[in-house]
Amino acid sequence: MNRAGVVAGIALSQMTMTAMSQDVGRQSLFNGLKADNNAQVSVDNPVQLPQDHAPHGAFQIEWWYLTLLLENLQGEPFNYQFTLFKFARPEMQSNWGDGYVWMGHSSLHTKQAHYFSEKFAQQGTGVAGFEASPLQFFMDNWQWQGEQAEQLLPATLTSSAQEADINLHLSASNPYVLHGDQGVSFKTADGRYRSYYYSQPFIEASGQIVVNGLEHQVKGIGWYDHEWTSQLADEEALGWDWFSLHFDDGRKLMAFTMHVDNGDSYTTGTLIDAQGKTVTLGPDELNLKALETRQVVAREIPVSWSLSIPSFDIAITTSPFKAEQWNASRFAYYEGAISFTGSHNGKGFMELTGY
Amino acid sequence: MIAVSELTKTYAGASSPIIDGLSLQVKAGQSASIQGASGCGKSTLLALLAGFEQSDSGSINIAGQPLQTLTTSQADTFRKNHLGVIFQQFNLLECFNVWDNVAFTARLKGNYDKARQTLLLENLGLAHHFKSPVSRLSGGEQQRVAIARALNHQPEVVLADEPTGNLDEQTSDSVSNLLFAYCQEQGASLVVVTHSGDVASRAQMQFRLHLGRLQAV
Amino acid sequence: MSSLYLALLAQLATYKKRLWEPLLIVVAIFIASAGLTAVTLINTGASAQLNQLAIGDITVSLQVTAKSARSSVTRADYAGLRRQGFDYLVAYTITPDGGIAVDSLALLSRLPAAGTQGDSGLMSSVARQGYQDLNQFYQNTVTPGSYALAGLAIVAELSPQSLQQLQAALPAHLQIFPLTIKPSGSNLTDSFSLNLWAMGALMLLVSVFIVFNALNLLLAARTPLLIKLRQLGISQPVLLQVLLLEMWGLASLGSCFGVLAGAALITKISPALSKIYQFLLDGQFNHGQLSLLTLLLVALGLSLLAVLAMGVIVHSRLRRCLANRSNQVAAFSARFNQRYRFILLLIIGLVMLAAPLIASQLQALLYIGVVLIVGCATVILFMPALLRWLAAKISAVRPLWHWSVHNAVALSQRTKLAACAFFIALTANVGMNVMVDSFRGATEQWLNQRLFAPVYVYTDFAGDLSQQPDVPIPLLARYGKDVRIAGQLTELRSFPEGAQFQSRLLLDEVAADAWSEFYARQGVFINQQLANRKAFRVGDTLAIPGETGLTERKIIGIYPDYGNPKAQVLLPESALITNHEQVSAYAAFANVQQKEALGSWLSVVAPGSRLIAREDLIEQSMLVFSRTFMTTDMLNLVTMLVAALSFFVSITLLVMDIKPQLLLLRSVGVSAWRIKLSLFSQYCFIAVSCALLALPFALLLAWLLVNKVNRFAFHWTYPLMLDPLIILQSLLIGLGVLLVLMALPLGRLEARFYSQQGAL
Repeated sequence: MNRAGVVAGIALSQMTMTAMSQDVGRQSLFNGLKADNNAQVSVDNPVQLPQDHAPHGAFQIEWWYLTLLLENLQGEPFNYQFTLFKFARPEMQSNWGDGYVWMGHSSLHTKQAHYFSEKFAQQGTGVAGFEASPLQFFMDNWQWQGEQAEQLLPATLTSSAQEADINLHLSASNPYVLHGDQGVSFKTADGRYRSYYYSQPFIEASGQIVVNGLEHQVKGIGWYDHEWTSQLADEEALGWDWFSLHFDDGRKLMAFTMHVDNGDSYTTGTLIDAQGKTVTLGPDELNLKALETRQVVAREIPVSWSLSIPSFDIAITTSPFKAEQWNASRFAYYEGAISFTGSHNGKGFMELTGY
Repeated sequence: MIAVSELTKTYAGASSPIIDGLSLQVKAGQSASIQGASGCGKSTLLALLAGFEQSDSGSINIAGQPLQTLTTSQADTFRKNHLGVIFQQFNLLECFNVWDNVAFTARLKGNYDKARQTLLLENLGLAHHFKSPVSRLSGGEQQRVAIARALNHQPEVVLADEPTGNLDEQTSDSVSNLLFAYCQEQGASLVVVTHSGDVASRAQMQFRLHLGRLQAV
Repeated sequence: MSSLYLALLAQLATYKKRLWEPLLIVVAIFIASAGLTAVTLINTGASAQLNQLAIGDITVSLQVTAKSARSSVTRADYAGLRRQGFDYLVAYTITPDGGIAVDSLALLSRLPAAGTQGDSGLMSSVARQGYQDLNQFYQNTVTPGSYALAGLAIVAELSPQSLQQLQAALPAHLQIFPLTIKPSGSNLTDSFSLNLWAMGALMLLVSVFIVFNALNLLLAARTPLLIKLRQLGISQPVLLQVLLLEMWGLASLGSCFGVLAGAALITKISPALSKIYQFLLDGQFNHGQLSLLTLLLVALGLSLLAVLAMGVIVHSRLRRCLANRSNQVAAFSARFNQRYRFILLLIIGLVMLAAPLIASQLQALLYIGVVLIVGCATVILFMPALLRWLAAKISAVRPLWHWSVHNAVALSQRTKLAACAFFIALTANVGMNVMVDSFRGATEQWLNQRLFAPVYVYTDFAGDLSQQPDVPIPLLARYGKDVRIAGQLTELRSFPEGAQFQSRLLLDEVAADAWSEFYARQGVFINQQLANRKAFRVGDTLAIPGETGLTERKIIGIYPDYGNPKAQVLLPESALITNHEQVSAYAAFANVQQKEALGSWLSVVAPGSRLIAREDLIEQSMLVFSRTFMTTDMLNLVTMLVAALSFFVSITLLVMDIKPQLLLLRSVGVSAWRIKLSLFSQYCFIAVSCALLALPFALLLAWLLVNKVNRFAFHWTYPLMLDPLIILQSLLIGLGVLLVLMALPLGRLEARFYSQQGAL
């Protein structure tokens, strides 16, 4: 789940600075905004694939989020995040555009460098949008091109991040994972905050990354998220700590804690076995605790965490690929690769917002 | 009156003096004409007599004033009060009419007299041109204005450089007559540099300037 | 040998003895050309900067646009190019009211993120520059099909290779083209732009006079030789050709060297200019992109045109003078009929009467041109006559003084064109100084009145700081919202409620009981800009869009709003406090301790806010003001200097002409220094006469600039302040420049008898 999209959406709507909230240490991301509740995330209308790969116009915010842990032939890491966000902006509907704003983030980390690009475009202008057959998401010359109608994967991803050009083939062998109840993911105990949320954590990727004229043949694994909702973008939602983990034994874990104003934080997740079978975890079953903070762009960021799921004998400690994994976008957040050790080893991605 | 003694002048770069031990005496009311080949030093002599230039040696006394002892400012005052100069090119003040041109020197000296000037101009045949702009006059008329200007303030010495050089024969005659008669009448010493034998012959003393010295003709 | 060749040889032979004549002609034209080049380069550089879209650090100077009027840039073109990776293209169009609508989202992508959460820097700067979003523009019946895009701005600094790549990818009907968008942001930059244009036009006018004056002087100098050549049997047409050939040769020489000198000067002072522009326009000064070759070709072409024009003017006069063997030939008669003077007086009267009828910016600028030309006609027709009348009053008791005045009259008759150039420069200089001084005075007065609090807060804080519970001292918020009133984009701004603030609003017109109507939300105050744009008056009704639709309000007062390019309406605070989009500023009645506390609080609550004392705000505003006009002051001075130099050259030539007369004066006992003093007094006489003639025209010019040009260009005016000190200072500077030049030594004045006096 990518909370950054919510952040961005709110900021776009308001074009305002954030204001200090009551919650010490957290900044409210949705100043003045309310969830529009135009469409309802409801178990009565569960996620249906492949049709739900496509954009959902009725919902306020939506994102397609890919994280990849890649290596070149020399074993050098190339950790890549590609995200497309869509925001319903009916007041922008005009003879120019459709009233939907797309935002793209493309972030590549190597050990030494970070390449980051951010784009904005309006649906209906032809610059950004979606086509069903074959399935294609595009924003300028960034493109997620599916090979079959309606099918998200296999696909070719073409994108760039500053001086880096990315061209990857993506495929997955296991079925998609629906989070929560048939894809309805509750962010708070009372369900006030929720979204449609499914993932494909079994992505295999290979291709080329050209950085500063040097071409690298890369391959690795990845995780894909797709979320959409009208019950999340609210001024009382403060921030999130989110993890996607690839266990060495083939399992996957999605875990996050959501923080709300005037309410308790809520932790939930999904444990996925190697065949794609899922178990939804509640706050009693999943513990997330920040261990160590570091100064990143003059902010105190908890870069190391402990994560435990006692019922599955999972107790791990995460550490970041590197400390400085800050996306200095117009709506900044922490997003980067991690590795973990403890009862189990593996690697993944971490996203921290609201800091 | 003019008294020149052993005047010498050599220009820088020249191999020999242009005026070489020249002496000349012209009493009040007397006239002298100086002829000579082109470039023999006639204009230089006039310039020395007028105090426009300084000699290398010798003395010049004009109306009792030793010129070589005068400062620039004193020389200016001297010219204003004692000297009348007639140029070949007239050098009239073009912004003035005839009357104001002629009156200029007298006003400078402070002896402007309307009646006297009127008479002078009438005698010079300029009675109908008092208000005429000088640029509208013929060459002869302009020269007569120049002569009138040189005489109007009653100088003791009149120096004339080719006063009839630009005039036809008839006008030359009448202008020469006027000039010589007036100087004699006023008791002014007149030195005329001229190419014209006719003009030269009217002077009481006639000289030829040759090799820097005057030879009586 | 052809007679033309022989005549030319004879002409050139005079250079050996009288080289100063053609040299001074060349110098005069050189000065005019250098001045015009310098002003043109400054203008194109500054205008280009003004007209450039600057997004962050990127200067946008190119765009993709349709090759011809028959085709246009479509949305599909835009998408197609961006999909190919040319994501630096940003679609824009020019709205019917001359505004700019852009694809704001595409602009968002081009700026690096500030790194702060939800940075609104770009949108506010886009809004500040007065740009609309394309979504706002393409509404209802306005579609990209019915109202095409103007182009795709290239928001990037592209290398030649990148440009080539783009060029290769363009569809056949599109091209890469320079982009000039005029951001109608600050009123000061608009003023600046207009000033630059005016200075350029002024310099051109002055240069025209200077060139013609120089050619006229050459004609006067050559006439005696031409007469002699005519007598020797060379035909008139050949003589005219000879004259014009020499004129063109000298004009070309002077103008080409002038161009090089002007360009070199600007290159040299570019760093200094850059500093000014960096502050003023937030960008670099790049002196004009005109190529030197272009400038040189233009100079040669203009020289040719001037000479040909001269040929047409003097043709018949020359013919007559050659026939009459008259030395007095010039392009213009020395004396004019009383008839011409009478006609001129009539024209002056008509021109004065026409002033109130001016109804547009273009008319105002044309009218100014007419005024300057009428002024020049006054100089030509009246100055010599006036001087002659004055001269006649001078007694001849002091003969040298008498001669000085009369000679001044003669000089003035022969320097009419140079005097005209000087007159134009002086009139413009004084007029613009009066205008700027009035503007400055009005602005300072207005600032002092409107800024009522000791401290002001400027911030990007999203909410309302004044409503924060822990604010240390009360803050008076200035609420704002932008709406369209009668199709005009208008700012709604709040004005504090309280009788103590009433005196702070300077009003040009006000209705009876205005304030009670204001507080009762029945009436509103509007600024001059709105009143003049839409011809609103006190008593008219305004339909203001609100949340529930349009609300009618009576206009109860009109106030001056200097420096604001936009229309504005003032509403009571209560009308906007719950209904605003932004808070543009806060006023705080804070003492020193309170100010510190406020500062500390702001650093936590709204970091990046600026806390400015009233005095500092006024000082900063006036500093920006001064710097804005610094360039035009400089250009004014350049024009003044050029005209003065030309006048100096003219007079020098003429004085050399009368050197025999000066030698005559020496020979009759007038000392050299007295002659020089006399000449200097003559220059003073002419210059002061010119200045006195220029004064009424200068004041008229100032009035026109304030009440017509400014009124129609920017829709607001300010009171014209006639400060005698400013007027005197401007006159003295203009005169001073000229007289300092004139005081240069004229060379030795020695009496001589030589028969070669003509060679002197």
